[in-house]
Amino acid sequence: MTNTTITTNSISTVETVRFSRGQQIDQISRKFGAFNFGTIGPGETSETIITTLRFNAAKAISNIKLGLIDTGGITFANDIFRITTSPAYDDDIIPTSYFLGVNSNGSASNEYNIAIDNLSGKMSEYVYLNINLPRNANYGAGVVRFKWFFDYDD
Amino acid sequence: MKYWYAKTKNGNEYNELDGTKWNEIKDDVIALRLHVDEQIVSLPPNMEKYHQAKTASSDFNGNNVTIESRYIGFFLGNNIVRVRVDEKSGNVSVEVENK
Repeated sequence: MTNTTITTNSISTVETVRFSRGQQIDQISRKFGAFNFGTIGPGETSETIITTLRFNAAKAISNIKLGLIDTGGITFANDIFRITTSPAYDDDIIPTSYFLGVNSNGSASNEYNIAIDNLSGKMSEYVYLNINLPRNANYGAGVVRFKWFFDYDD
Repeated sequence: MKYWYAKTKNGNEYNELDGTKWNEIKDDVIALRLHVDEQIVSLPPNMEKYHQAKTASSDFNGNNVTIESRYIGFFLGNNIVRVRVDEKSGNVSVEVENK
């Protein structure tokens, strides 16, 4: 058996929206399918990226999770890939929690996925992400990849 | 073929392939099955409430939405019992979640 890629119009409208200082710049995520946190030097913290999952189909989603799939070349350790969720959009929120591991199998049940509450039936809460680079680490042009997981019924 | 099949209180039978929307019948379901190719998973009949859904994933560009697994289940007291079939391997697992 093989994975089934959903091709119906009713679900192809899943989109990740990226915000920066209140402005929606989702074309960036559409192009790369991932987020580039910019240039970060050893011991520095990246800009915070604010994002949300939107589901434009008639049906609702539940059980939303976010997994860290690819560290972009950074050797994983706790407290590097930070995350906070909030029902509010706030440019001043700084992530305080962090991913405890990499979802290496890409599975929805992976223990390192982080549960994200719904803001509505079709939208996740706002997710705040940044990278806190250790003093002995470098981050070049690597792309950090995340993956959404969610349930829907139809 | 992968689809759910449901029978309702009035004896009518529905399945995912005939265009039936789950939300339109879910409150009247008295029997529920999940067909996954050659596998058929059946739940006990006449449970108080049934449930079915798919677990999907999406990368950040939204163009690659994939079904990871699909499940059927029922409510039993304060628990939800789910039987899940992995889309890739066909493996079947049972989950009990306390609500």
